[in-house]
Amino acid sequence: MAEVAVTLKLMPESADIDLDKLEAMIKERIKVHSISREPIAFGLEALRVVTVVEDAAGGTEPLEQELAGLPGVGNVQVVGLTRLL
Amino acid sequence: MAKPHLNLITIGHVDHGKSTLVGRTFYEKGLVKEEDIRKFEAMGDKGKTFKFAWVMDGLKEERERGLTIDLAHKKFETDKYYFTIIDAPGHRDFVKNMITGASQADAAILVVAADDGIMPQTREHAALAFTLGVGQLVVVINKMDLVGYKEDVFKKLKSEVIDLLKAVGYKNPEKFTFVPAAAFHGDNVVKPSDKMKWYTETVFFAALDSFTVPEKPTGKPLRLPVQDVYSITGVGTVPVGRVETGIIKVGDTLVFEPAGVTGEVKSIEMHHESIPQAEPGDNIGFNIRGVEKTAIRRGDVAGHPKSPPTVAKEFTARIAVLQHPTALTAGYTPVFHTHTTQVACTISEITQKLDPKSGQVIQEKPEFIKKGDMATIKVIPTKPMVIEKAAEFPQLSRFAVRDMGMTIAAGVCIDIVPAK
Repeated sequence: MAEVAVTLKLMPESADIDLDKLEAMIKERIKVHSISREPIAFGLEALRVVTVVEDAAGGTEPLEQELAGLPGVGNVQVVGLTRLL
Repeated sequence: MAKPHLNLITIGHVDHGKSTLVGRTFYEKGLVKEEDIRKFEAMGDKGKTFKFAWVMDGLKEERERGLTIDLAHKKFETDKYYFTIIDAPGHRDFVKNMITGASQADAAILVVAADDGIMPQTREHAALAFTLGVGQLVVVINKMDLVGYKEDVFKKLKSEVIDLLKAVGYKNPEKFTFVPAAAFHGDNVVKPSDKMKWYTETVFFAALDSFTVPEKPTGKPLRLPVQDVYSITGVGTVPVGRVETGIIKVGDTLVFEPAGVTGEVKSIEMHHESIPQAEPGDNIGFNIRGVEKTAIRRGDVAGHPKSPPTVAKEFTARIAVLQHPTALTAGYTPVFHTHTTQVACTISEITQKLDPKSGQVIQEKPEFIKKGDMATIKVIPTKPMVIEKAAEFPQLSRFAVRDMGMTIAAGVCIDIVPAK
């Protein structure tokens, strides 16, 4: 079955959140392909997480909710999607 | 001068060869290594099928999987442009992502297999592309090898696709380039095919250069949906978001709707750099004076007080029902996802049912609509929300309707009764 590469942008709850810790926590919860930092403004940084979900599994909602539930995460947004295969 | 960059979305039925077309293009342009292609060939029949696809199903080894994910995000270049390809997922639940934030597509490639013809997913994806505001298409009639490379098959299907595109809303689909191809064999992909001498127009790859860079809506009033609001020590209140239309400048007075508060822009930053103004597509944070962090929230839209964002008391929309276990009737209250907001809205009236094949009205005030139907509906938000008319701000008119963990429908707002 086909898979979908999903890019999520995670905004921290505040500018004081330790992103290294958050990154480690994400890696424990889900299988990530890559995580990078995106500078936003006034010292704020977002995490860009690339991961893979099954096309048939239908949507990114469970993934979004799982990440949004992590302590320190303000909001989660899917900013990129592309089918693999 | 650097070449402009365009996002391309590939759409069409899953088995019609979208990946093969992209894989073949990557291969002929030297983006896929010869040794990878040999690996596919070594896999026997299955490998051959996917020879030019980006990934193979059987190879789950971590390192190779990583490569395929990187490959999926690779840019390729033509004479005029850099392109990134977004291959639209098959499952309907991803429609929400495409509507509310996944990278905006500038152009689309619609793939239809010559032997199969138009399938429900072909129609659905074409409608989605129109809803997303993708105004330019290249249509590839693929798998021409399976119909003997016959011109009459191509011509017949081309006219059927033109009718379909008209039905979903495209004005002059005759102007789009239609390419007969056999992506698996490479016919008319990058090089002209000697099996279809009757076709004299451009091949697929060259057709990509017929696209134009969509103009940025800088001349429109400002619309900036708020993604998040921060209170930063030493700075103050900082909303973060992407400019959809218009220009935001330092010194501007802004109004946030539906919060109804105003403040002054003290500074704007993008990628941590201070900038005097920002334009459509820019992801920014800005310091706003006179507004407490708690007074605004995600889903509010910033604009200038002389043409503020529209708060809807009621709106009229055109929707396509993607999936629903039973039927949609008046009184139904699912969640509408539009720009950065999510609001439960009641469908107060189903005004007209439309023929998905022609877009014509087939029934006035139907009792219900179900999967596969298109309709115009009236909608009443359960709390104040900003939405705009497609004719004025297409970027803020699109929405996905969700309920029961599913994307039920996709649509655009076509008329509004403002709340004030």
